Amino acid sequence: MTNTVATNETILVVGAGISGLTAALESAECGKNVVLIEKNPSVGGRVSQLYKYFPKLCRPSCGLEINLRRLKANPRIKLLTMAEVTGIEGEPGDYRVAVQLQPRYVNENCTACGACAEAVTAEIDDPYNYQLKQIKAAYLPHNMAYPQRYVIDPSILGTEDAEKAKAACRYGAIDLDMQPQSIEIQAGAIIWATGWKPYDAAKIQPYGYDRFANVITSVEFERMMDPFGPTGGKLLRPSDGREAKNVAFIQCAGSRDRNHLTHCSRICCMASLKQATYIGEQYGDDSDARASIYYIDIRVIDRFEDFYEQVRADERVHFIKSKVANITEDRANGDVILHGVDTEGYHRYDNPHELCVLAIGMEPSVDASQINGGVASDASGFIAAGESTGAIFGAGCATNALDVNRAVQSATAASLRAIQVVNQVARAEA
Amino acid sequence: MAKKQYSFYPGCTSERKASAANYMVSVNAMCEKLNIKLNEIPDWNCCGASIGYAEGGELPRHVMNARNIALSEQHNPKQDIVATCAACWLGAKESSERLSASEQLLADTKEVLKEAGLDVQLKNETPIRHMVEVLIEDIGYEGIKEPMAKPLEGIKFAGYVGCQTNRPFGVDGESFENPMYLDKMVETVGGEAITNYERKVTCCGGALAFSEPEKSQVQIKDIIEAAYDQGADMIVTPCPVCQMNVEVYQGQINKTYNTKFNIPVTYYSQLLTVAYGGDIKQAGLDGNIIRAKRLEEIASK
Repeated sequence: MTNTVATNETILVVGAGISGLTAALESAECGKNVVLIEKNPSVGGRVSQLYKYFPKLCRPSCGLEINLRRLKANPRIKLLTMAEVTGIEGEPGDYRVAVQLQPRYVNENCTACGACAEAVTAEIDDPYNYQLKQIKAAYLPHNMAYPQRYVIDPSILGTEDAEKAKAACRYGAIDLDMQPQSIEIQAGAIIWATGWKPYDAAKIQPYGYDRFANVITSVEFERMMDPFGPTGGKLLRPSDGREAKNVAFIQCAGSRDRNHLTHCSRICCMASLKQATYIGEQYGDDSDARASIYYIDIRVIDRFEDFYEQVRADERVHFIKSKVANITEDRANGDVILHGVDTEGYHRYDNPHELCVLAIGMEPSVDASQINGGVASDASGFIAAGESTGAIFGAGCATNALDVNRAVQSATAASLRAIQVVNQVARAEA
Repeated sequence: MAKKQYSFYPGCTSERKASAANYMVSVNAMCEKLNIKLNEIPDWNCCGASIGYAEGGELPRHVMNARNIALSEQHNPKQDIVATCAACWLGAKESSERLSASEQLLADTKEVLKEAGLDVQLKNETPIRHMVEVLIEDIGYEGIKEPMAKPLEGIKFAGYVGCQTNRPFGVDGESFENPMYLDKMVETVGGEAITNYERKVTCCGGALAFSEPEKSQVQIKDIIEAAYDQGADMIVTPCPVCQMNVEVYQGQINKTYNTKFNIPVTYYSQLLTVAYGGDIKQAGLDGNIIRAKRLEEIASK
């Protein structure tokens, strides 16, 4: 059972991705008590699903590890996973937040030994790998998951599999009778860091994400590079499992388009430039390897210009200034054919590629209209600052389409705002 | 069950001896079975079609459609206007929406109609619908299946939707790139649908088939080739222009490209009529230039 002591000097952080973790850590390291809640069974959010960061091409696991160490070391942070906000009442300095906890069916005794997963036969789609892979219905969300504790998927409850998992556990960690639980958390300020989700690619109908196996999204492509990912770290295309060497990237897939998201998702240009380097990483000097980036304009800002120049100098990477009109499929070999007009010279093209990656746009995971009866937002549903937000401060990609660096800056700012509110509460009560 | 009543706008292609006269014949037979009564708008006029967009001018184009709407309000009050022709549907629907959006246009239109001796209120509240919408939304797939007597077993259809019933309005709930309603209709009456037929919404060239035949015939060739590639026995469409263009130029295309195209192009209403037990004449199959032999076989059984 969860006993969470929180007062109106507590800061509640909603979402434990990179922004929420940062906001929670910085608030706690300034001496504030923090309750950090996360909907998923593990913290780290979408950053944990990245293969590499731009522009340094280092591994996100490195930065996450530091943050996890800070988290484990800090007694001021109470972490609740599988927890979601269901309602907020009160005012700045005095909020009461209803939180629903979903059962994990695995308690603190878990040592992550994996015996339950070995015992279970049922498989589920792996959310960590964007449903590209099947995992056992008793699972650790991913290797770096924190808490390092297994989850029993509710789909096997009441089946033989659940009993097998329970029998396999030598630590008494599996509790199949766990129930959903509603709790109330008191908080002086709330940091809302629920992050982003990829725009639904199937809605961009001319690109046929729902019709052609070899049209995938940038987040799915990222998972392919992970040695533990769905393709074991190889760029294998979904239609036939062959290595994809001739890869197209379509920029602004869903972004800057009045039919879809009107905003620029800001990260996609750098994401595709980064992913273009994966082609070189996979195939070296193989003369068949090539990345073709179809773009409206390349938006790499300030210090990223150097990275852009480096990628541009790579002769395996081609740039086509064009918004792709539509995609068709070559039924004979599964290749996708991109149709459009190259605006530099106005040449029509029908270019075959083995794989097409949609640099998919970002939208807020939780629309601002859904938060506390609707807080101030921009046209895309990202949280803005305004009277209606009170002491609910947006952080990271809940406020805008941001890269990791800027998300962390935004989280620090939100932390500072929340600290000021609870400081006022403390002074008033002193 | 009471008959469903609609105010009917047949359009020029459905006239006797016009290119889609057989479409009309099969629609009548189909509606008979589905308990649909079509009340023709008296003295209806041209929708403007392509000429309306090219040289006809904005106001005349909308006035022409407004006249039909006004006549419908007068003679068939409270009945939805239903068109079988894709261009008629599109033109009337567009004019209706533009009239709703602009008071000035509405006032100008009324003035012109008054000059023409039609002094009416023009409420412009009547929904304007294509026959396929009536089938899908009012009758429903279950209802479409009900009168079936002879399933179209063993016939493979490429459902060619074309552009006018698809953009910009489209049929509610359907994808613009891969609409499925024709496929569902085909399957409903026992046929085999090529659900991933990739030329479903490719333009047939429309009126440009006359003025730019080379370019249009490239389009048409693609539409037919893709149907053959997937083993289609015939093509089915909801649009009279699509039907005509894809059917009648096959000979010319064969000469130009050394192909051997000879694929029937039918209307959904012909399929349904045959499935409902109609004969060749009732299904208008005698009006096809490339005869749909497989359908005729079922119809004569």
